[in-house]
Amino acid sequence: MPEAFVRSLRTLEALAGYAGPWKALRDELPLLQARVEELKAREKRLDGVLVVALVGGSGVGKSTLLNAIAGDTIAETSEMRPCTRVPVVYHPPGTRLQWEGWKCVSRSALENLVLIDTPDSDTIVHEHRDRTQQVLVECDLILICATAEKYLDEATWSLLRPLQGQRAMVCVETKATPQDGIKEDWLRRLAANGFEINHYFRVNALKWLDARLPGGRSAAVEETYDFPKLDHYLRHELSRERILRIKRSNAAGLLVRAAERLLEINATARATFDTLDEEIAQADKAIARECFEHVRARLFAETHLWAFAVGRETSLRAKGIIGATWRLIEAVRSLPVRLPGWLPWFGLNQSSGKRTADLLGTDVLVDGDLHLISDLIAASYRSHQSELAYHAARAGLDSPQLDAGLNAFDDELNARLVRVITGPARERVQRAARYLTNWPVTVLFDALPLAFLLYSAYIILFEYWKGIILGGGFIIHSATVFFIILGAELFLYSFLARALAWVARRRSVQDLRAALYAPGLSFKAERKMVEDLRAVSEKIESLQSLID
Amino acid sequence: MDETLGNALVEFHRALEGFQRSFEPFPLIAAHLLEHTGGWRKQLAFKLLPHLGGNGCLIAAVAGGTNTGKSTVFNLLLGEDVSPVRTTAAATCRPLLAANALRAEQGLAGELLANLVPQPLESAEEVLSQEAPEATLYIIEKNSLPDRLVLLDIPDVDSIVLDNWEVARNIQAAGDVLIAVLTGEKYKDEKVVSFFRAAAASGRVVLPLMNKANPGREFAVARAQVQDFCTDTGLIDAPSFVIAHDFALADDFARPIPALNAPADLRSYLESLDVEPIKRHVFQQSLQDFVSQSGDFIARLAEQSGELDGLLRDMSQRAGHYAAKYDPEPDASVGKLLHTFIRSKRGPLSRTLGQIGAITNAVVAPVGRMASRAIRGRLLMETGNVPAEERDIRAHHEQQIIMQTRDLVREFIPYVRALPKPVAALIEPALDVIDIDGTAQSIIDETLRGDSVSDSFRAHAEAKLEEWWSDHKVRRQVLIEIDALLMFTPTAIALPLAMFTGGVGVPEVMALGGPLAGEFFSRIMEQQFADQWFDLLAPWRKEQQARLQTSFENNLIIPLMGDMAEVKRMLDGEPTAALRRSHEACQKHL
Ligand SMILES: Nc1nc2c(ncn2[C@@H]2O[C@H](COP(=O)(O)OP(=O)(O)OP(=O)(O)O)[C@@H](O)[C@H]2O)c(=O)[nH]1
Ligand SMILES: Nc1nc2c(ncn2[C@@H]2O[C@H](COP(=O)(O)OP(=O)(O)OP(=O)(O)O)[C@@H](O)[C@H]2O)c(=O)[nH]1
Ligand SMILES: [Mg+2]
Ligand SMILES: [Mg+2]
Repeated sequence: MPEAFVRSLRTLEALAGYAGPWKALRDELPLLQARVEELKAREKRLDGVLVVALVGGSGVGKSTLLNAIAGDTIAETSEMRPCTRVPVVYHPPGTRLQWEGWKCVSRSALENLVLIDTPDSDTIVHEHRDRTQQVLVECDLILICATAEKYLDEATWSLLRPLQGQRAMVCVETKATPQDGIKEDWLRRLAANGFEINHYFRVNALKWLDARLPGGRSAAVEETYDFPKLDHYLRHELSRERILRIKRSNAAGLLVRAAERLLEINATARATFDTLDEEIAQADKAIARECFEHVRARLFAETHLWAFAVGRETSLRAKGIIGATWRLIEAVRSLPVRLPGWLPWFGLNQSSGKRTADLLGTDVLVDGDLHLISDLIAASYRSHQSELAYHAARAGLDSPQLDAGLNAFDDELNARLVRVITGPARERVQRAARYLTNWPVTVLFDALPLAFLLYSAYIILFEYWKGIILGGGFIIHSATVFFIILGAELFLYSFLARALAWVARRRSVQDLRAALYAPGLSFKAERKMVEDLRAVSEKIESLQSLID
Repeated sequence: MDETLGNALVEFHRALEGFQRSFEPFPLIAAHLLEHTGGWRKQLAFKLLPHLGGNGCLIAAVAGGTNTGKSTVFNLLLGEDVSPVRTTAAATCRPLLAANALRAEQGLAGELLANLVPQPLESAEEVLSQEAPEATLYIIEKNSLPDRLVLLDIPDVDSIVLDNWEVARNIQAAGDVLIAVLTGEKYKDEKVVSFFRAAAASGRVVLPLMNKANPGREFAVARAQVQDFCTDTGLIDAPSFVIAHDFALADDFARPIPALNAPADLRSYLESLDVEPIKRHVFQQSLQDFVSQSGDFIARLAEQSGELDGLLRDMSQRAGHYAAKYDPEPDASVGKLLHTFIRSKRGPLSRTLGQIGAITNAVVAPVGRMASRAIRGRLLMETGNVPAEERDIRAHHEQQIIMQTRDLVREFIPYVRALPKPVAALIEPALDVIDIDGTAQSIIDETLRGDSVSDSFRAHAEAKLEEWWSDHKVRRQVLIEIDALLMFTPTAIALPLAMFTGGVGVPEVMALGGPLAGEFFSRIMEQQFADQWFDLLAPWRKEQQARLQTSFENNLIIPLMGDMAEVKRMLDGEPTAALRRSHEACQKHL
């Protein structure tokens, strides 16, 4: 078999096992599976004999024709209708055949050929028609037998129509008489209905049989019309290659039929998958926006969290007089926040704010779980999800499980938030702290109080040198001035810390936006579903090029 | 034929037309309902209605499979070459009627075969063309025929040209006598046998004619075949005729068609038939057929209506199922009920104090809330969940309803698509264009109307609380004591305080104390007696769910199922009732 055929068959086989949500495709599966089975069986039988079926209405002379070809009485014939009740299989000895209930005659002189005489297709005995249909499934070549009376009968045509392109067909006009034939009309009607007929034989089998059978009247060969040609066709023209070609073309016909059906289904569904994809992207964006607004309006709007984080980072690095004082103040200031952590039995949970503040700093006190997903966001997620499910149902897909997905979304959101907070946001907080605690700033801040201290010390020493011991008043005075300086600087320092925290927070909002708006935040399962569907759809589309 | 029957039939015909007209907007369901009604409708149209007057003329048609020689037989009966004979099959496509001058004139006036469009035959080839409308009837004048007989050549009943079958069936209904042209190949064919079986069952005279027969052994084979045919079609003692296979090949048509098992040749036999009794019998039989089959049809309409009813109910049930999932959260208007009740149970002094407290609370509470938020935010770094407010509760409800509406429709989609095509076609158009958001919005507007507490529920709640109040004497006492204690403790604290401070702080303590006590009191009620609460709210929940269900019904089910309900109404209503009435009238004449 050509490679394209084998590849298409494998594709069809894979598709026949489809078990996804695409309803239209699943509905097609029983037929597809049957077709794949038949194709596989046909592929296996490629080297075997050619099965030829004689099909037609009752009394057209099928059995007589078989007898004439065999030159012997193989099948019963009668003037009363219907005559043949079960298929009569006429095959060369040694052919392995397993057709239960059929009459097998194993002495055919025809090599590579099994001839089957079928019961009729049109009488009131309906089982005959069913049995004929079974033969049609098995056969490779159909000899459509008909007379002037029966060549246009719907009963026979309706059996043959579904097999168009899947069986080689040959017309045999039986009971030929000197009168005008029906050839032209028959072939015209067949062509108009999409049948492809390769040969046409006009025969009178009875005359041939009469001439052959012992005791029969002899008849001139001319009186048998095309019978010798038909005989020659069956005996000599159906060579191995010819048989192989017929079988291949039949299989290809079936394959094309199966593929066309799938392509048809695909053509209607394809666009809906694209829309669904777009809808998912939109829902994803909407959820991202909601999450962003939600987080920005809460964590990222709370100035004090950032001030706290910058303050703590600063206190870890602070140097010099101002730095030391800052540390002290920070320790006291953060007392109520740290308290619940020390007293776990109090049952006070760490607030999400506290956790964020921790995550913003280096020494992570808690694990990386934020789970900021609020009821509002969860509800909105579910709502978007139900909308997607609705669109999916519209597109003819089975409804996905609605409860699934929220946890995956929660995890993803959490991971992204933690990544922003422990990544760029923390970086900004630390940078702010480093600005405040680098040496030049420390020296700058410490210069004034230090200068004042030195100056005071100088005054004390200088006065002492002059013999004056300065009284408590001076000490108190200079201490007061010193503390005023210290206080003012601390105030300035704290102001700077806040300003830097403000900047860090504003900048981090951009990071947050970038992180949350990156695609793929939500609806993983839905996206996966559409991806799978597209993969299947592409697989089906690949059939197009193969059958071309 | 008496007049009342005629009227009844006309009445039925009108009712049927009315029925078809009223189902015009729903072509698929109409086709579904009228499926397999071809037989009796043809009887009505072509036999029962037109033959009311009766005109003493036998209508004989030559029928059978294609290429069996119908046209040949027709020509032999007329004794001349009238209808074209072709070697190819499915040649004759339109019926050709031969009659003498009088009958031909009647025929052209439409009095012989009603409901067909008569046309004089201009060229014999016309009957071979499929171009003329199906109802065309070609008429040719042949004065060799007597007044009592007209002959018809008709298309086949078994070829791939399905229109031909339809034409043949029309004539089968219109005719009185059918000449069954059979051959050795076709006498057992399903299509042929079933055509003549139906004809015989409805009282037509069927005359088997074995064409192309083997004359050997005195037509023994043909005899056996005709015998078979008679058995298959249910004919008893039918006179049969035969044409040997070499007989018709001559160009001489002026030969009688010999009898196989009949008193005379075919033409003589046809002329000798007693017209009136046959016509009466055919009419009577047709009437019987018609009455019983149309009766089945009417019975089936009721069944269909039952099926639709089941579907409608099923849909409503689904809506109900979704409404039952709705979980309304009590909002302020429900909460207020309890407060009002508690206030009413206080003594006069506490009530006054409580009222002062409530007023102060209204002023102080927002300030307090702000303060507490600030404290929590600054010190404990709480940023998160602000308690749900009225607005949020409503938004939550809205979302619930939108989702439920959407889910409900989502469930409908595969359900409807799986329904039989004609039924699905009643819902699908509406389902395709449904505006989910708009529908959900109307459902929300209806369900979440301002007054979420109905008067009946208010009454019920009060009765329930009252009952609880009177049933639980001890608990009640405890509650009152606590309330009183809470109410007066602030005052008790405030009084000595006032002695030291000279009045500063007393109103503050009292202002805070009152509302606190009220809050505390209702909290206890809520928490301690939660189970009672649940019971108390159950009817309210039910009420909300019922409201949602009604709203689903009005905004979703009715628009979606409107067409189906309409069809059901018609099935239950006048169109069918008219059919039934006139059917009963016809039945009386059997
Ligand atoms: N004149 C003539 N008669 C034929 C010819 N072939 C068959 N017959 C006759 O036609 C009749 C039916 O032939 P069968 O061979 O039994 O027909 P069949 O198609 O097998 O019929 P079923 O078994 O009923 O489907 C028999 O009486 C045959 O003698 C022919 O070529 N010429
Ligand atoms: N041998 C033989 N041929 C006949 C006999 N009767 C008719 N034919 C042939 O059968 C063929 C069809 O005859 P028609 O009379 O046209 O048949 P029909 O039933 O009208 O066919 P449609 O109108 O096409 O359905 C013609 O070729 C006739 O010559 C007969 O008794 N013996
Ligand atoms: Mg046979
Ligand atoms: Mg004809």
